[in-house]
Amino acid sequence: MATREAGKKMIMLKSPDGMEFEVEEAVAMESQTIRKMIEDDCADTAILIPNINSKILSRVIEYCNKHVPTTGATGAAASDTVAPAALAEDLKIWDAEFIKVNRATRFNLIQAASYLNIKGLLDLTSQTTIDTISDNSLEEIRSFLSTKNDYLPEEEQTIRRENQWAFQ
Amino acid sequence: MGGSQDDRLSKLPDDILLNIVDRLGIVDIARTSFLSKRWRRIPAMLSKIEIVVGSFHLGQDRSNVTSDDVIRASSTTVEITRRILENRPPSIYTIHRLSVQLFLGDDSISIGQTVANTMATQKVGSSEFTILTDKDGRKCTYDEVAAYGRQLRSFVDACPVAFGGLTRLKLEHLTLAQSDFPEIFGICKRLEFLHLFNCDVEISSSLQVEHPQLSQLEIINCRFENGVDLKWLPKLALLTFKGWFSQEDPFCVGHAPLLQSVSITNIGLSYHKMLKLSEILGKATISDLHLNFRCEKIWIKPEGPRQLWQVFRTLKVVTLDNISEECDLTWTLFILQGAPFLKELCIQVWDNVCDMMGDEEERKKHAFSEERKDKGTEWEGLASDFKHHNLAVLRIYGFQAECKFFEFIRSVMEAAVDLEGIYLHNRVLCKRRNIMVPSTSKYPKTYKQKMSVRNKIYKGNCWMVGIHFPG
Repeated sequence: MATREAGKKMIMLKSPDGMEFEVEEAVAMESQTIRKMIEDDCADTAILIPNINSKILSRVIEYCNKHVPTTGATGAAASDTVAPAALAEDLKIWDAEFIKVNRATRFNLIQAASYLNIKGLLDLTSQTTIDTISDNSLEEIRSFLSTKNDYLPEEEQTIRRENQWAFQ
Repeated sequence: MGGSQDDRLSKLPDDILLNIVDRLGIVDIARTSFLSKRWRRIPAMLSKIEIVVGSFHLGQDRSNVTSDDVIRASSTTVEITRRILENRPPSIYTIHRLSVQLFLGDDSISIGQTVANTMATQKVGSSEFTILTDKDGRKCTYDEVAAYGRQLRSFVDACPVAFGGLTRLKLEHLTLAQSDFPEIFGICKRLEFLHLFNCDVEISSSLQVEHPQLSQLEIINCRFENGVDLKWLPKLALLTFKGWFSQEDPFCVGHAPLLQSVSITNIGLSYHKMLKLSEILGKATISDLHLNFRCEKIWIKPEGPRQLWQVFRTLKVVTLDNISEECDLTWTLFILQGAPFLKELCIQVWDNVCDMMGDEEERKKHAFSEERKDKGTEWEGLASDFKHHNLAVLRIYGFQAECKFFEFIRSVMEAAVDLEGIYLHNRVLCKRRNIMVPSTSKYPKTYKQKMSVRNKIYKGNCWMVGIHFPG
């Protein structure tokens, strides 16, 4: 239920495994998907977030809490006391810590960020994948992404023969 | 057997994979298509395809590039263009933007044909070719650039479908035969954007441009000896003209009723003619004018309001960049007098020493003018009763607490009755580094210095205009 607490409008988010999270509306609205629901007035009771389990959802909320523009009840310093550059630097360090998770969690976070449409989180979670693709051989990328090579051996050979440049 | 851990990324929906792939360079995108059959389908969904191999770009100094580098980049471009474009199932996803950068040579035609096939089978919005030459044309002989010209001509003739579908084209280092440009314009009938860098037509001829669709034209360091005649360009909106060798008018505008924005940049050398805007812009009526003098000789001749009426009558914003510090500024007021609807006048005064040629011998050799840089800008000045009713903002970058600035600002204040603000900046834009740098020590820093500048400008009068020092 939307409730009021210390003048802030609160929103209830529910994960499919039954957990409920009460978050500030401003924090929830970091997600463009939820923002749209709120703006379309579809959100006066709890919002069910399908496909995202409570473990992942709590991490997503943690991210949004940190990234919501400051002066909120997040405990972060108000922006007029800290230089924006220092704030951005602080966020970067925080992000780097945040994304130190195992592969499965990261893929779940990518999926959640995509469904909830949180651009910053999607950028952050996809970046490691992008770096891996840019810096490694195809075999290494496959192993990192746990992608199975489903080309038949003869297809694979043809591809290799015809596309030397891709395997360098 | 794989278990839930395996292939997790590949289980993500297509749009997420696409989102990741979208952020990769084209070589990496093409490589991911070898990962698995699933990944192979992803590039076919891209809506923006930008095929650029290696770190080559238009107009770059290519002296450190070997012919091996070019051959390798060129063949990779062919492979990738095929890989990305030929595997697309027809007409499911629109390609909003397709751009290919390629080297002029044996491989170009095969790329052109692949692109032509794509245009025939897919929905393609904007499409662009950037055509590079293997050598830096500034270090080539006449025969070499003429050979590039012939190569381009046969490329266009071999791929009329691809060129006929292009909306954007960028070319460098070419000398074309007299009849080539009109014929190429005829083939590239959808062209909206054209960029020419260091191009030319055979000896002593001019370039005539007539095109029904062209809306943006950039002509950079081209050598057209008899100038460029922008004869008939009914859709032209933006014109950028940088650097010319002609001793006459570098260009003249004919029929261009939609022309809005004109940007002209040149290092004025001793042989360059003083340009009259009323003559080069002809019957155009523009709203935005940008002139960059690159800290050298001023090459604009002040003119009276009657001559400028046609060109200036709806002019809103004027930017005068990199006026040398030795120049007087009063001459710039001819713009105020000629443009009754001018809203903002922005002036940057700066001797950018890291960009200027300092050595006397070198200056002589390259025909830099030895005269004062503002010679030829003499002008009778504003009529004493002249009033301007629209100017709202005057902005000066590289302001110094000097007499000529005070006088210039006072002249503007006296004429412009509706002036809302004057912004005096210390900083100037260093184009090379693309950052704002502080320019001068004669900039008022303390409150006291700022008050003193204000007082010198106000000169005891009571003015309503605010003078700001954004730094």
